[in-house]
Amino acid sequence: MTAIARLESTPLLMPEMTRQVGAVDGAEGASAQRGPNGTTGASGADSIGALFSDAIDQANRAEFAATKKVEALSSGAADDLHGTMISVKEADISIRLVGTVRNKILDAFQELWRTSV
Amino acid sequence: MSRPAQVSGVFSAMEIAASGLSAERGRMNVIASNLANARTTRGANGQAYQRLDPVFAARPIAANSFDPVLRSVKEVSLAGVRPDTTPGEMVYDPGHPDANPQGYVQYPNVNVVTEMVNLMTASRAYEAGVTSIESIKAMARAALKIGQ
Amino acid sequence: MRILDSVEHLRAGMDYHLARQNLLTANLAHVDTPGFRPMDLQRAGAFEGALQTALVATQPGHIAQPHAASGEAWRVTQGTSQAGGLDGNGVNVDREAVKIATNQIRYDTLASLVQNELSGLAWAANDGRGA
Repeated sequence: MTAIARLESTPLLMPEMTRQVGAVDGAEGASAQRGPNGTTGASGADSIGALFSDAIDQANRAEFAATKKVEALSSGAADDLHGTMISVKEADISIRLVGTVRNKILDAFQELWRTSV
Repeated sequence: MSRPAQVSGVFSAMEIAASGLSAERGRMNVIASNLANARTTRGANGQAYQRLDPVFAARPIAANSFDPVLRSVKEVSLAGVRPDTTPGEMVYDPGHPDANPQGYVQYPNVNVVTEMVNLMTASRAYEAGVTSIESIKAMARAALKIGQ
Repeated sequence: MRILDSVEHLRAGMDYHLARQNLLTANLAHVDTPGFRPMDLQRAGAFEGALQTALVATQPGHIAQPHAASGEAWRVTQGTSQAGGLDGNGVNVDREAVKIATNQIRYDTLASLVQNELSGLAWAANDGRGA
């Protein structure tokens, strides 16, 4: 069971929340992001959602790599002390990053829900 | 670990340092034998004691490892002792029980001062081995701090 | 799924290293015992290719086969290399001391990994906020 799975509190609502938060963020950011050619940046929903799923992918990969190294070290099959420690810390930070992004989306959504009613 | 090291990491370094300590301890034993028998004019073979020199050999620790560093490094082993055939001094002492027909006694070729210097060298080399083990342990502790 | 399943294999590893520390310390204690051969603890996966004599307790109070609480097979092996010295004692003080040091490093590593894993679990249990 990965830490990501443990973190998920409202998995059903996450895509919808992400979309709504991203839409607001995109609307605000589009006016500020007009480049020299007059083009806008990527739409807000994509950027928040993309950021979140990127963070999840990275955390999953980091945790998988760290688990393999830890098993090798603890069973005595490998001798890599610092490599294993760095992998473990990397996975830890990646998971906490997912948690932080999720919390920010949740908080932003709750803010929206309050103001739009 | 109860199996030999397979990469050139903390554990292989400590095994190599341990071989150095072991070799120096063996050298100190040989020197102690020389010092104890510095005036032995008749040994088990009826001859005066001949001083011994330790013979060290380099031994690879993992000749077929995939790690090129571990393939190259060697630990030291005390392969044996070699008697020193340099003749010792002859002292004219006809009353000595071990005197030869001409009245000379053959004393061992042990120079106490030389042996003491060798002993100090071996002792310093042992201390150097202990220092390198301590520094390897410090490196391992530093690696563990990454995870704190 | 129990919370502590994720550190189960780490805990088993720490069990093994602690038991091995006992054996290695006993080797050092017997540095002057005539005829003593140093002992070591092997665990599953390390048996092939090693020459070993399994210890069987023939009298009560003697050392029998140790076993892990998790059921992993451990085996006490005894050194068969030529013993040095007039008394037949085969303990090399320097090598045993280094084994003790490396065993401790491995134990400390596993302890650090357990701490890491559990603090990550605590953070997730706090819903990812704080802790």
